[in-house]
Amino acid sequence: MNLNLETEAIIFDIQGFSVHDGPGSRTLVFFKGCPLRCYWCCNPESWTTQPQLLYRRNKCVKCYRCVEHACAKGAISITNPGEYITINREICKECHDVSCAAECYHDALKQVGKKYTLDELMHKIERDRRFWSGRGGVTVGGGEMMTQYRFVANFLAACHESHIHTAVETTGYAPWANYELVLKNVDWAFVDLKHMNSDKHKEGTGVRNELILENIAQIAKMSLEGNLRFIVRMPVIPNFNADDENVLATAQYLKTIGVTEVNCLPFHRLGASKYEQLDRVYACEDMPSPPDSLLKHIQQLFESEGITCYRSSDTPF
Amino acid sequence: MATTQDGMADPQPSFHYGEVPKEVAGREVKKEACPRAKKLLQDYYDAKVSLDTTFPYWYTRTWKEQEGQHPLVRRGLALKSAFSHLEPCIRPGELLVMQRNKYVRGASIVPWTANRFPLSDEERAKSDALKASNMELEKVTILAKGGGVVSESTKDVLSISGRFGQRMDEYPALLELCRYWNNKSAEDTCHLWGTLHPEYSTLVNMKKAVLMASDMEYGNRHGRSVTNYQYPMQMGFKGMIDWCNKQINDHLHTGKVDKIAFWKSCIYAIEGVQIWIRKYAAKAEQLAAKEKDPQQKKEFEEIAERMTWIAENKPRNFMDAIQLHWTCQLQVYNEMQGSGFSPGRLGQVLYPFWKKDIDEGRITPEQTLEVLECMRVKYTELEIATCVGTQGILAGNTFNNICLGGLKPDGTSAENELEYLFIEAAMKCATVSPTLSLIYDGKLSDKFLLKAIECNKTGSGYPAWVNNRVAIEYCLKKHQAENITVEDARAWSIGGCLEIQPGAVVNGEIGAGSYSSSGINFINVPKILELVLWDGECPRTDVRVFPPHGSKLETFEELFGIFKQYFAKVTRIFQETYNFKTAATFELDQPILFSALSADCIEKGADIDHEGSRYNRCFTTWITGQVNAVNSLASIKTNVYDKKRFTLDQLKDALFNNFGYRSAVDTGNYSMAEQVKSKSKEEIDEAWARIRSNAYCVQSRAHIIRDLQRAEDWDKIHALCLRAPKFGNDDPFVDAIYKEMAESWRDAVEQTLDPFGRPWCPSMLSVGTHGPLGQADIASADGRLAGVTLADGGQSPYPGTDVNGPYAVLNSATIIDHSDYKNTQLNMKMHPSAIKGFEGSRKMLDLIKAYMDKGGYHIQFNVVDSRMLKDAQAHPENYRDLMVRVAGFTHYWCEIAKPIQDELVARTEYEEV
Repeated sequence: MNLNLETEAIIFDIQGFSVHDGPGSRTLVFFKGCPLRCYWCCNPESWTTQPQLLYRRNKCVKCYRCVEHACAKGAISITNPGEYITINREICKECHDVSCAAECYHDALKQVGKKYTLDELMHKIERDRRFWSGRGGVTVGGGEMMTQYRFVANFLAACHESHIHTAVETTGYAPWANYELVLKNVDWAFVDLKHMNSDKHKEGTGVRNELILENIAQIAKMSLEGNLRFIVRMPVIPNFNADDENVLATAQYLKTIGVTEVNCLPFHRLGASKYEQLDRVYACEDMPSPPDSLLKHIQQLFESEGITCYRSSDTPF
Repeated sequence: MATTQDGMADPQPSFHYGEVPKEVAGREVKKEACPRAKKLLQDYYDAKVSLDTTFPYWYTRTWKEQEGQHPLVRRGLALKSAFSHLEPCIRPGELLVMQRNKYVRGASIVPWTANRFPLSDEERAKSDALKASNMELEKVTILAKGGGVVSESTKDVLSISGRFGQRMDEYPALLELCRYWNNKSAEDTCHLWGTLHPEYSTLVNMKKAVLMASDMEYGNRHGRSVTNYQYPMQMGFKGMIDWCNKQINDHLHTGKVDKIAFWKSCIYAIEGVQIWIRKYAAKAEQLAAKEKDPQQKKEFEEIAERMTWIAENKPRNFMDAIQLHWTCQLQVYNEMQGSGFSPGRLGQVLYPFWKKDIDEGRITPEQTLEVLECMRVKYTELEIATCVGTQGILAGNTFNNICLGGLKPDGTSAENELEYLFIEAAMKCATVSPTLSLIYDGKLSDKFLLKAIECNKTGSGYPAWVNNRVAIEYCLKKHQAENITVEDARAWSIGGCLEIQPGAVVNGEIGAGSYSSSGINFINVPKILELVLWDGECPRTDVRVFPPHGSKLETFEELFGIFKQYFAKVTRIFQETYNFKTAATFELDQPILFSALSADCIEKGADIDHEGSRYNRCFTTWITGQVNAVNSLASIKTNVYDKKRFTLDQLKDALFNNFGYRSAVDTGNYSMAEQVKSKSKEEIDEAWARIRSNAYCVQSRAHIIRDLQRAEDWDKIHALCLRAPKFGNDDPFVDAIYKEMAESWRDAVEQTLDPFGRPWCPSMLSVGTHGPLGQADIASADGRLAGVTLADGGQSPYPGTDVNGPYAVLNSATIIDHSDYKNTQLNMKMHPSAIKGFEGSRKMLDLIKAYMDKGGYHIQFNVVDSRMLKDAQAHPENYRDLMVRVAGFTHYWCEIAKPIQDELVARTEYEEV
């Protein structure tokens, strides 16, 4: 799908009444596309920029209508009669025409990711704003919203022009020049810090952490200058980053750059069904959520270093 | 780490038998009732709904003896006799006493109003065949069977209307009573009077086709109003009798015999109540004399003293006042068959008595809570005996609604400390009645509003939130011709579910004095569209309701035009015939005690059926399923006319054949998620396989292929219907249809004048009717299948069709001006995690405030995990006390019929992860 990168974007969800992603009640816009591949990711449908096809087996009645009608390229077939359909994802990869989903009468095939123009998006936001009751606003998330930074920058500028409070959720993994463009119109930033050890970071997310750390330091500086409120988020992934050593290293780093707040988000498996819907294998299928005791322990570690730590959705905003 | 909605689809909790599973029971706020209320509540849980014949027996006996007397005086004497023969019943531990009769969940039939339903089916059938009866409605009504409901007869107890237990040994006496009232009761005479209307036969056909859920012209014509307590609070029963006597003496020279008769009737009826109260005093005294336990003895003595006092005098303190109010409630429920005589702004009525007691150290907040909790149990015990059709509508609730907050007549905030305790008591002792509604106004404190949110978080479904601005505007607009004052408008309160009733300031205090929201029928809006498509005939019953319209329906405008005409015609015929029918009952079962209490009746010398109330524009018409009708119209416009994807005939074929599905009535599941195809995939595959192998002869082969292809067409049409635009998504295309339909109907309603000569009022709320009416409808063009429950409320999206989140729902809901309607209604299901913690509370309040500011009149929440509801359906034994919000009232899950349960489970749940 060809886009005018200034005024068009691929968005995979817009959620009103989002209550844990910034101050007040907010509308959360999910942008598609992400350079990271965190193995615990809960939004695997966000990885690629283009629209994709989800296959929801719990809705499929095996009518096989799609086999005949949906895909001219033959990506959908029956391997075993009486079983679920097979989707050749290699063919789909090259194809961004997701009109095939419309051929399914039972919504088992579903398009994820839809093109929005800036005007269309602003229209939705203007509708929602009265329900935030003064304290909320827009949160831009993803995926990694920076993959569509030109649109995002324009969108955030338009929000500010309309006096709308703005927040972003980002991995921190994008060139600083791009961030400068976006952050001009941001009131609140959440940046993930997933591991202090760059090798480990690459192992878990597919990328090294140097760029992320630099950007975090830059944003911290902006925050100290009073330009925005900055909250570092740490996903708590057992056997990856939840050990004392990493937590303390994180705390040390945050102290040196002047960050005082961190929000720990425990791993959850709510995204698991979406892996199946994308015909992907989820590495964390059987991984349990970290116990409260671990979160409390991490909170204590942070607080012993003088950093305020909020657990999960228990935040003061 | 926000996750999109899809990720939440499949958590599979493991449930254990015998207790509520932990993962679904999680409620942020959970409190316990005081031991006293707990014990009384246990009595209630254990009690069965029971009929007592004392009241109707003595009423009828005296009525017969007084034949020839002025009808008002005759009724007054009959009431006096009936009240004075009621047996008192006091249970240990009670602080407030009195109940309807000797049974904890006792009700009485009111045969002078409705005498047919306790009779045998054969006996009923004889008379029903001739009149616009509700037999068709009753056939499709499915009743609840759980809780204290007596749904099956046993050796000693007969089940009546599938709910009420009647002792076998008293049944012959009951039959005799009912037969005496043949051709005399409101039920029988109103049909005779109704035939005066030239289109009465059309009404008969409307009912046969189940175009409405109503048998209420007699059986439930009063209610949805507010009881006024100010006269007894200000002058006591003796003062009221003295006032009536003075009125008689002052008016003897005027020649107004009917007025004299009314005052006399009031005196008799109040005297009956006084005797009944004194019997309680005597009983308490007896019990005290025998009681060994000193604490209990003291309590009995206090009850004896209090009852003796309030039989005559105005209350001295809070305990007197709250007991007196309860006595007034009971006398109203006993004198009439009706529902929803709401206590209104009770916390504000009682406040002066309570404040004085608190200030002078006679009561503590803890003691107050204990009394208020006991009061909740009392209200929950109330039962009304009606026929099956009415029960399908009321779902066993009595609609006692207490309003909190709002403004005082002088325009200042009306919240008070006692109202905080009302909320606290409702959290601690969570029962279905009285329900609470919070009148939202910008002048209320955040502390008060957040207290109400805390109560919402218990999952009890109350308080509902209603908008003061909209209601005041409604009162000023609709009661303008009656010269309403701004003070009375500010004193408004909810009568019944959500009906806006103007207030009546009485000597500076908030009181009530308006006519009942009479009329209650619920027009089956999707059925009207069926009539349009089937040229005036009901496709389910083949009943011809209207002569053929003859139109080919070539454009959407033509179709929508006929729809609006039909809607207006159904409304008009219902309202006009109701006028005739209800007039038949004005001299038969008019409220005497309720009138005596109501503002201005004694002053004017007229009961409320003779315009004695201060405000009288209250005749009301309700509608159900309009969201399904609007979605169907949107689907037809898109698919048939704009995009021409299939023809109207193809659509009708698909609808008539239920898109190839089995009817919900056969499968017993009433939400869209659980419907099954009439032919399974395997059967279809096999048929194709046999065709391919030439297993059939040429003729039947062609026939079978045609059938299979037809079924495929239905699938396609069904998919297109399901995907057509739906109300509740902030889609201007479908919202515009909603607005046009609602406004044209509003205007049609107001074209008819009521028996007092004032326009009828439009109202949107479904109560329990979206169950039975859905069962009477075939599949609709929005993709809803035959027999499936309709959309609830007035603005609630059809379950599962709101896919753009809550903000879009609220936007669609405010497409109309809510202050044009006597009520509107929006239900929302909220997952507990979305509003957790203090911040969560503030965010929920933000959402409510925004909706109110945008002009919404009402919103209410089920704060519940859908998994809990599903588990409760599977294991009702674990959930005796689970309460849910239905459509304007809170009710016990296990006492709700399955079609409504299914709808509740299917409602879209707003959750954030």
